Amino acid sequence: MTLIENLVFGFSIVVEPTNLFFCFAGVFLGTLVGVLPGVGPTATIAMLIPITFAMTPTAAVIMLAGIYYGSQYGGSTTAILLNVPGESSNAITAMDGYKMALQGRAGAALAIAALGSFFAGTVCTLAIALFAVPLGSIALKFNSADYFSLMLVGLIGAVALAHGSILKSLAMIMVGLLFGLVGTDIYTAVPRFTLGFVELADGINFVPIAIGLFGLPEILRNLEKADSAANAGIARSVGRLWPIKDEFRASTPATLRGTLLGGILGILPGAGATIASFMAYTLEKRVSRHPERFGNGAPEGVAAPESANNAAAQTAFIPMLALGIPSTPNMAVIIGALLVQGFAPGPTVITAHPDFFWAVIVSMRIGNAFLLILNLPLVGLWVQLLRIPYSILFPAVLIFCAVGTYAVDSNIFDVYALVASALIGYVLGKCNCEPAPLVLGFVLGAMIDKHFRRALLVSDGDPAIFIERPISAGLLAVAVLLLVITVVPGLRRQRDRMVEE
Amino acid sequence: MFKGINRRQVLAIATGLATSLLLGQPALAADDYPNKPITLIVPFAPGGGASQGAQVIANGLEKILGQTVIVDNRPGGATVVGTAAAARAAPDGYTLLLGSSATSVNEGLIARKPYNALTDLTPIATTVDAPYVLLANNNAGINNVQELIAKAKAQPNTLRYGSAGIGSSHQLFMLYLMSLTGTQMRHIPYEGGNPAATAVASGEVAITFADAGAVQEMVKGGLLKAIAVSPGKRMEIFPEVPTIQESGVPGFDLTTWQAIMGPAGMNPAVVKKLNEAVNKVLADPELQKSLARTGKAAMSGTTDEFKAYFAADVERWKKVIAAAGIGGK
Repeated sequence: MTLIENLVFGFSIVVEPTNLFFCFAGVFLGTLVGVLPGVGPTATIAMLIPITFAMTPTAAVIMLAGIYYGSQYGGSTTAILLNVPGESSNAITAMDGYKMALQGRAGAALAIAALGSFFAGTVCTLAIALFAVPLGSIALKFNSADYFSLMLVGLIGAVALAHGSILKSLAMIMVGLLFGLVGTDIYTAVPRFTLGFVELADGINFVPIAIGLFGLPEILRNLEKADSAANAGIARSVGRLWPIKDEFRASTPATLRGTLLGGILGILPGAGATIASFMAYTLEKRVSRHPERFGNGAPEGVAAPESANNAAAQTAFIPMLALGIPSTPNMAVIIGALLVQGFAPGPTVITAHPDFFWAVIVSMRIGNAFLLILNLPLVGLWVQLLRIPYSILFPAVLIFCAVGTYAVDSNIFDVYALVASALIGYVLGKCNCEPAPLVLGFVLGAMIDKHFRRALLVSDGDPAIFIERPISAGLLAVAVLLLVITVVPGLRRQRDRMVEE
Repeated sequence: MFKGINRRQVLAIATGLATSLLLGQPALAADDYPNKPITLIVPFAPGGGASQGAQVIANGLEKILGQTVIVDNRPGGATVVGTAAAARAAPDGYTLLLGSSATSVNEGLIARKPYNALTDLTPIATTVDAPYVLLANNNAGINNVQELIAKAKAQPNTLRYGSAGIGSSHQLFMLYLMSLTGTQMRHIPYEGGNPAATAVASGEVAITFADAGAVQEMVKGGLLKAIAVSPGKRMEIFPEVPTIQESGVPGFDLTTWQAIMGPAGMNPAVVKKLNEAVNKVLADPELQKSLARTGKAAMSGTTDEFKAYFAADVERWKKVIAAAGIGGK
């Protein structure tokens, strides 16, 4: 089947009323969640997983994907209008975006953000459509040794590209790894870390960890600083909705570069939309002939990070769709949702379930279009939502989280795990430790253990298998490279400085 | 009139009513059963193949019994969690269990569990029969069971086979095959049937058993070969694939099954009613067609037939597990 035939095939599935509805619902919810500071796409996706059980896997991924890249759109709205980023990946958009708003060019800023995101989404969806197939067939060449090396790259990448202290990131990854090992060892059928509870024999459920570490601590933190949250200055007027020619000219190359950078970083496990947006901004600043404009309302300072984070959000699906590997915690949550449905995304998805694959790809195009329609005219409406008093918002969110967690397996242990993760997440926040490496460690850790031991089982105990297989050897080389980049002090100081800006 | 009735009398009447209702229950049970919703505990994750099969049966039962049948998914511990909950429930016919091959396998595999399936459960009716298919990698040079046996004998303990984990039907079927043919192969466990099949496609293992319905797309796509099927008769979705018995291994007639069971001590009249209802559901041609599409078959029969089948199944797997030395945890 040619690309066009495949796209038409996917289109025919997406325009089914159910799928179309969920596509719209997903991007709408995603925008909502993005606009609201406090609730993020990971938490939302985690909370909505129980609903996806009643849906087909196709509709589920269409909706969850919509939420994910929709939230990148929505977050830019509050970042520009209120200097409060909706998502961490929009933090850098606020720097130039808010300045533009104060200068009365909020409309232009919002338009640049929306158009840049749309462009990035379009290009990357095409990339998925074109390259997912070769990626898919390559994936069948992956054996356990190769997967192990790939996950190793992911883990090291998580350290190299995470914010803040490397030691803390490492510690978080290790803790996540340990939590991931709870359960029954598949090679010896012996329980590990289950403390005698048969409810833990299948491991700690992923949903309470995801919600508990991301969604709930944000609520706790917001409650702490109850006064400051919504009192930021609101940009007086949204102004003209369209950028002037100069702004277009400045933003176009920025958008292109941001898309490329974000697209590549999105595929790598450990990177993600936030890193993509930071790096795109820095790149833009480096290549600009007027770097002093940055931080004072430069349109390319909005275009670059916004296209980068949307590009990364789209290409993050490639490893998931083609290989079944989560490149970010968001993807891990989505994979978790699919696995519970008994649907394992992975190498055979493209050949075994072409309807699923092409429907998801086309839905991303349609979703991007929906988002453009939603974001431009409806900005005023979104801002109204920010006026919901937090005292009403947060109990509702708490109830959703608890009910959703219990509904996964009707296992009260999951709710205990939720409470425990929330407290742990809160403490971690206080210690300035990020929960993202922990979740990545949790998901990747269990997989690394399994693949490592299986590779050795296959090779009958011979560790040379990791170097003998070409893919594995190549990935190990990348891992070593990443490690070197991380450890070399000069580059490390640069990374910290980049993040602190 | 109310003046005449005092508190003591009201109490007496109430007690009398309550007692007669309670005492009257067993006698009335079979006649007006069911008179409230029934819960079917399914010890598998919702949305998966096993649970979807259970949902289909539950929907059919609703129509015949005239009461809601709620599917209560309780995954965990390789079905132990859900099965234990069912064994603990009151034997009034309003809590049922979706039993399966796992129920009989666990008797030999898991020593530490809070129930004994032979004494704490009542077999009621079998529902579906889901045979397995033997898959081989395209480049392994194994086109049928005879070639497999020859290769395995030529290099004992070298050929690798996949499974969905220790104690999974995938592994047990292979252990049984090895015991019948006198061969030895190396076991590589995976997280489930699909990863195991993917491993065969990628060549990490040479062969594996797999749920026929789940892998039919992969076979049709040419990603791997189906060299034999596990039951005694050929399967509709793989008509040209011979059975293992046909391929020269007499006595190999295995399948995985699902059934409706209940806690021990149920009223025999209720059991009979349920058995008849299930068989009626299974007789629906639409149901049979949709089952066939996913590689399953309706498995109707009497309660006594099921009781005998279940006891024999438990015994067979106990022997295989003991011989392989993998059980008893």
